Amino acid sequence: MKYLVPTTIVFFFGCPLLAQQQQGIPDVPAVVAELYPEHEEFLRMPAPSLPDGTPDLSGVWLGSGPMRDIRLGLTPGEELVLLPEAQALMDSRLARDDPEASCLPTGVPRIAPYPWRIAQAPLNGKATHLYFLFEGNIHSYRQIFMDGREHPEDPDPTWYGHSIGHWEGDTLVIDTIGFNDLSWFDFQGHPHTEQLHTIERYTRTNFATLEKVVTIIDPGSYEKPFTIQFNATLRPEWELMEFVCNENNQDVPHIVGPASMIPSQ
Amino acid sequence: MNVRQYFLAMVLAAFSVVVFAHHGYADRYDEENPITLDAVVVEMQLINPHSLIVFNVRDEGGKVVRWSGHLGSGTNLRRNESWTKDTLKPGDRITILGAPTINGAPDILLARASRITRTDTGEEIKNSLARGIGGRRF
Repeated sequence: MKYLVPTTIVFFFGCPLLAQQQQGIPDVPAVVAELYPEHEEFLRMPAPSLPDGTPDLSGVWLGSGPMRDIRLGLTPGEELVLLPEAQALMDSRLARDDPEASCLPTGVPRIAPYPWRIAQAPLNGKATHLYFLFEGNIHSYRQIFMDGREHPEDPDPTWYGHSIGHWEGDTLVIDTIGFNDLSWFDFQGHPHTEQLHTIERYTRTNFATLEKVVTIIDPGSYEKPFTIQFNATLRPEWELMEFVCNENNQDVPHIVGPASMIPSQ
Repeated sequence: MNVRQYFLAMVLAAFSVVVFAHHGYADRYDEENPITLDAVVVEMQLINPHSLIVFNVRDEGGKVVRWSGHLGSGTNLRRNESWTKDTLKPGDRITILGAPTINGAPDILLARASRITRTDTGEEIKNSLARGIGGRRF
């Protein structure tokens, strides 16, 4: 019994880390099937442009995130620091209560491990609207206004918020406010409030890579803003398929355990 | 309990909740003890988020029992494993290896470590045994 306390200590710090390895769900695209043969070549090709000179972000993309844990994307030097109430909320969350498990939207910037596209309107000429079309999660879209408008003074809170976008050089910058507080940032259950303000920066660094850098500002949940990066990979051989989450969703009654798989640090 | 039992109990406690929360499979299926079934397909549905095979199995007494098998998303089966709406048709005889239910209900998990072959020809329709528990996708 003299080994009881040290054993306990070793286990409660060691096991979650081991478990994280064991779990083996890295964020997409590593998760999914092998990359296509031309992928290596595409990494050396430059990103294409549209006739008006703006970068062309069209294509079927897979990945970016967060998915499993938003902390996996923290850029060097960045820290995610939860306010005490937000930490308590996260600690109390059960995995089965993730809205994603009930076919509700994953909001911004969380992504499902299914492909998605960026489409613009009008097709030829300066975009007034950009649409993110998602195959997975709930087969829905995000609408980004590109026509120079401002955010409304008092937006109705929604799952995806009110998004306005503009180009800064080769980077698409999307500013979003007007979120409800219902979506979770990841499977872990990192929360946010209606004060959430996200600034996403998309840069197609080569033909097959879309870098996504997001600054999360939410004084209701986090002590300070933090920045994450998760990249997407081009899947030119794919098309989006239909995925109706409500068709055969059986999981919720069977999901056990807390959402947060790793004790707070 | 002695130290070894305590040690083991804590390992199990730490791992069991962590790994399988997302789909709830741990609550239903025994992935440590897979079973093999000789089946006749009744219906296949390539849908989301979980595809479904309904099939008949003749039990030891010769009685036909209706089973269901759960797979991953229809989009992934089509995209990554080349399934089509014609992959399994009513009447097809298949041999299935997968994880049985913990409570003994006639249901089997085919989304992870699993294998499906055509009984008569041995042709493999699905083989994700290599994935196992550590390698499964999500």
